[in-house]
Amino acid sequence: MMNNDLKREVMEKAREHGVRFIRLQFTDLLGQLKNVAIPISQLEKALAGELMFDGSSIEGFVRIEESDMYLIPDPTTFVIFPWRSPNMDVARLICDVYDKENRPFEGCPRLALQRVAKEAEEMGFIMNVGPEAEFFLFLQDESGKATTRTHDQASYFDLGPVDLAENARRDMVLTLEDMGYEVEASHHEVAPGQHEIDFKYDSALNTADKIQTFKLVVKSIAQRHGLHATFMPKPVAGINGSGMHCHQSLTTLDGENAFYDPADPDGLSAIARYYIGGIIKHARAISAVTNPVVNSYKRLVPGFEAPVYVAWSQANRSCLVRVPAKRGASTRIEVRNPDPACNPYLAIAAMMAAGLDGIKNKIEAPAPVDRNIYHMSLQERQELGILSLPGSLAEAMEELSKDEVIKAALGPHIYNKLVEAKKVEWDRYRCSVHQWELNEYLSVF
Amino acid sequence: MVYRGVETVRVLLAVSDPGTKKTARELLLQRGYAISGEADNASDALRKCRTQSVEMVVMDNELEGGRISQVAMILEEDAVAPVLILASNADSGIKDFNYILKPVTATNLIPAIESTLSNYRKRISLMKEVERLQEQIATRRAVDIAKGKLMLSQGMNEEQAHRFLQKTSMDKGMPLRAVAETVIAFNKNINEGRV
Repeated sequence: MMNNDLKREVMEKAREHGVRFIRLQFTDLLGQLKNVAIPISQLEKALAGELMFDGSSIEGFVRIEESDMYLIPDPTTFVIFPWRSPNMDVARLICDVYDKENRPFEGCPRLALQRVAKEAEEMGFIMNVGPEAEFFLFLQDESGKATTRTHDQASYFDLGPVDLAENARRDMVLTLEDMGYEVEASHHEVAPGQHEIDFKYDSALNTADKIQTFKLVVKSIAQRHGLHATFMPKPVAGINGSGMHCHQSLTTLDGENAFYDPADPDGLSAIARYYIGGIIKHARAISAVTNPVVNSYKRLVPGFEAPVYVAWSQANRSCLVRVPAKRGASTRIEVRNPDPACNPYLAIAAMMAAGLDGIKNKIEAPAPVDRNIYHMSLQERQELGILSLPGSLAEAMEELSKDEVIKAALGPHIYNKLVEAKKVEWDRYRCSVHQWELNEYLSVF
Repeated sequence: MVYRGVETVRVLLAVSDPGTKKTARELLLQRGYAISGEADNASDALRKCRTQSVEMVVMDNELEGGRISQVAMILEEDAVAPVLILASNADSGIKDFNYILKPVTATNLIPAIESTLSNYRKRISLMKEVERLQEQIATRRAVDIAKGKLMLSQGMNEEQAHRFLQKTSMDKGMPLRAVAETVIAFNKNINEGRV
């Protein structure tokens, strides 16, 4: 359909549903969803890409002197928020960011993902991603602040016959469905208070958009139930953290699954093996993007179903990459290290770039590891050439600085801003005295 | 004297101040209301409304955790339960809701609860009626468009097109609106060369 038809359709829908405000959404470097709210009277101007905003206050965007930016809405992302607000229907449009000369702004994560997706398309592929985001539902305290107490620990009399979190999660699923998501699974996870909602795979860009909206929905609905939803990777030590496994596959431009080869004994094509080879090769650098905060690395430790070692397998869940048993159109790989604190645009761009590099340079995947790697000794791992994922954000950033493929996928602007922001984050962490240190040393020394 | 109404309404009492809470509790129990639970702060109130079968919420504007008008808004939007706010002054934030000014007495609390409940029930039945009518309009609109598409692409007359939609709906056990929307989507795909 022509872009103009789409824009007209947006205008019609907005009018028909009595929408009064539009939120123009975009994502900053660190993955935070940002909003500029405009009244319906400005919609036409916004759709024409004529609305400017001041980008200097946005993390990782621009310097003061180049602060005027344009928001260019993607008309296919128009959705009316389903939360019931009498007389106040609100809709959103997801936007790309352009600079004041109306050129694509190189600090826009959504554009970075589109750049890599375009490269894939030139190679004859479209990437599909299906995320499995986990999150915790914690209680809010007397003053409405988040705690790490879960409703599961609340006393019996505190709650009625209905499971509070179950109820909230059902509300989240219904809201997502109202917004056009096909929710495939929704369940309580391993840890107390931990939940997962999976929705159907879609193209890389659509999935990244959906992850951002998903987080917004989960957080808003939780709050309406007196709960705090968090996507922090490891909020409580000693129990499972929250990951966002990303199932991914490539389809050819005529819609065939490029990872499937019925002639291969494992049903995996050479393309799939090279893609895995690329992911394995760049895994340590990708982690800086898929696991972008200090806390991310407290999840990537043995014993909690999170990957620690850079290997792949058809069954083994201790590996970084697992290949689920399904074949045919469902042939895909599951990359298990990403966590929901990541900027989904950058994380997917980095993984796609790694896979494409594998295909371009015919990077052979190492032999699959079907044993539980947690039970191997260091020596056994060394003999098999199995590396560990980075142990800290600092180590991951160091790896990223050596990986030209992933740096190129991000683009120099985003890479440099990321290094700046992460250096500050790491220094602040390094320089603070943590509760653990007090518990450990205060009375001993 | 204990007054017993025809039905027992279960009330959630969300009040931090002990004095106000005691008065309200006694008045409610005397008048035959049941206290389903008590909440000490705003998010506790939200959680209890969601998990206990609460039919009425009496909430102090000075409840800890703030955001009382926001909590009342959520309970109203999600049609969880009617809310009566106990306020110390009529500031702008609560004017959109049912409220009484403290101190709480039998003469201000009970009539306010009764009218809040009755208005809430009226509102819910109106909302259902509006939903039903909106659905009806949407169905009619979809059927009209689908009929047009069938007449144009299948050479049916209006009566045949209508009959086709009705029959498909009955045969497939699918709502008429869904059948009409499927026809519309199918025609759209044909026009864009996707079928």
